[in-house]
Amino acid sequence: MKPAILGAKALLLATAMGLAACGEAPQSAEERAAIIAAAETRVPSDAVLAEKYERACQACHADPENGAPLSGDVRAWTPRMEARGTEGLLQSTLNGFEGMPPLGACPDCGIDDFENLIAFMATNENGEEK
Amino acid sequence: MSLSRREMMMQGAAVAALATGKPFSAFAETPAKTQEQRIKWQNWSGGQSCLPEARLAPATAAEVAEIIATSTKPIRPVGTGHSFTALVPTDGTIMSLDRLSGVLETNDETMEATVGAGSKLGDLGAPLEEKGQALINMPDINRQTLAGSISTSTHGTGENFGSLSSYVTGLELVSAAGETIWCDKDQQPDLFQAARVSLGSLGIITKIRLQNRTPHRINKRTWVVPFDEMMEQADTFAAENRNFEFYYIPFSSMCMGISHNETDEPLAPSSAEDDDGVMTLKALADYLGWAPSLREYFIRSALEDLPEETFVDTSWKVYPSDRNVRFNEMEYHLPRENALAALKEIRTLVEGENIDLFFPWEFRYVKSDDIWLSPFQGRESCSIAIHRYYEEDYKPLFSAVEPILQKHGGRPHWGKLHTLKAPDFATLYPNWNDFLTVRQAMDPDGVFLNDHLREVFGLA
Ligand SMILES: Cc1cc2nc3c(=O)[nH]c(=O)nc-3n(C[C@H](O)[C@H](O)[C@H](O)COP(=O)(O)OP(=O)(O)OC[C@H]3O[C@@H](n4cnc5c(N)ncnc54)[C@H](O)[C@@H]3O)c2cc1C
Repeated sequence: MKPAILGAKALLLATAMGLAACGEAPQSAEERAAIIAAAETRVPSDAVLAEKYERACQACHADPENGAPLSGDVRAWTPRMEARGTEGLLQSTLNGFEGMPPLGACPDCGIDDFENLIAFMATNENGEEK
Repeated sequence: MSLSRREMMMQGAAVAALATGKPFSAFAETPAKTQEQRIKWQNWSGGQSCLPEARLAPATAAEVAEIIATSTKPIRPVGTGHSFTALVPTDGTIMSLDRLSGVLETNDETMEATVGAGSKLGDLGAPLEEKGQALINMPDINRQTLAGSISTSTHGTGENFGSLSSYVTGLELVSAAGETIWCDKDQQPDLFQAARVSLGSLGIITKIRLQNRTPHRINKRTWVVPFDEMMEQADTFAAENRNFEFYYIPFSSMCMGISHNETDEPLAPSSAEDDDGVMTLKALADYLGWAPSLREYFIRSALEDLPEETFVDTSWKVYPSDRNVRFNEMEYHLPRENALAALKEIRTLVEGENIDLFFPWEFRYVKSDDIWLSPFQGRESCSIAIHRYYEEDYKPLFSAVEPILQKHGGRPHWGKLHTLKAPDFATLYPNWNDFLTVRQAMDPDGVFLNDHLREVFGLA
């Protein structure tokens, strides 16, 4: 009796939790380490934008434990860009998304700043983007 | 299928640069923006929003004063927008102290630290530890700013620990007249009594001096207890542990206790938490809302399978959790002797009427203090918090529960949803008029008053 109920419970909970695996091509440990190292140090070249980036974005988008796409990790940003476009990502920033608060934790950013910050994070040093 | 203890909880989901010398760029932008050009500000839950004329982040107290003198009124200070009440919304200017943050000064003898008011709690742990200090207690999350936290008397749990405001030993603010004023128990004592919990209504707080302690390690334990047993034992758990709180998971008859105790055991950090627990409860509510007993069976049997869990880490890493599933919240602080009875009454109401609800309720202990607008003033308290998923209308649930919290003498958390008005506060707070006198003297023209504050202070 109990196993059957537990099975039903497991099924119910699994369905409820929408457990779904995403099929991404594997990434080597070296590639991953390089992306993390780059994310930890890169900042926009424009000084005003860099100050906003360091203040508002870096803490989460340079922290591999955080779950936010890493700054410069083109592979993580591409599906997001394809699915939502810059406008969609801008809306997520303005309205907040999961752990990211509304206005992306940048109380004084304007729309241009947000667009530039998204563009900076979605590209890498090799000029790859989206 | 195993649900981790943390999953069942209501979790959901850098030290900012010190003054950089860069001007508050957006401020220079005149003329006034049209409605279309403005960017919407909203709080964490999305329940409060506005279209301010300006959103500014000054980098010095002098810039704060300049903004107060010249920017569109009303001017509302903002932290990270984690309050649920309409404390921040304004058509005028929203001012963030994001650029006035970080640990500025420490005193090894008194164990005090002066920090920039815009510091996020999560950005204080590491730099304080470097200076041989740690916060005495912390709330559930660490995303709020220190100024925002003390302004609403943000609290953690523990019968021997007051809210964060009770650890403030001095603060600096820039007044409506543009003056920079320091206050503590000896200098401007009335202002100090008022400013430690002041809803951003007296001025812009720029620096805060905090009573801290030495860094310490905490052993965190979570365990499951049936509701009736918890009602019998909660006070004993509170007395036996440094910090104790519990959650009740509606429609389960089960509670989850959480204790924190100081330890020198070796570090044993928690494994990564995942965010699905509360959404699982939501799914159970969606599927089985029509059959409460079945839902109770599922949740209870899942909880009963959970082993007790402990981990050990540095205090500032243990206290906060992530909250990635958004919600709206009502929390009242009740005289301790009434609180368990109130909780039982709420359970009877919600489960008796099968009110659709899945977020766990939180029950915490807070020590009394003497701050004029602190909801903990003059009484040992327990806090009861009820949450509503952000996409759901919270009003029917909150208006059903609020009378029970009020009947038992509750005072609402200033940052969490409630329907009380000035006459209610005048009854609940012995120093209400003292506060109003200081507010009138500090801001006679209402530079810092928005609609919500006018209503709260009876100036509407
Ligand atoms: C997910 C979540 C978890 C929470 N957990 C807890 C908890 O465990 N315990 C608890 O007690 N509360 C909790 N809260 C409530 C929260 O701690 C309070 O609402 C707190 O006030 C939010 O701080 P903030 O920095 O976001 O400030 P805001 O919400 O932006 O502002 C709060 C008040 O502070 C004023 N203010 C901000 N900065 C200044 C300044 N520099 N000078 C003068 N006034 C200022 C504002 O004008 C406003 O009146 C939680 C909220 C959320 C969303």
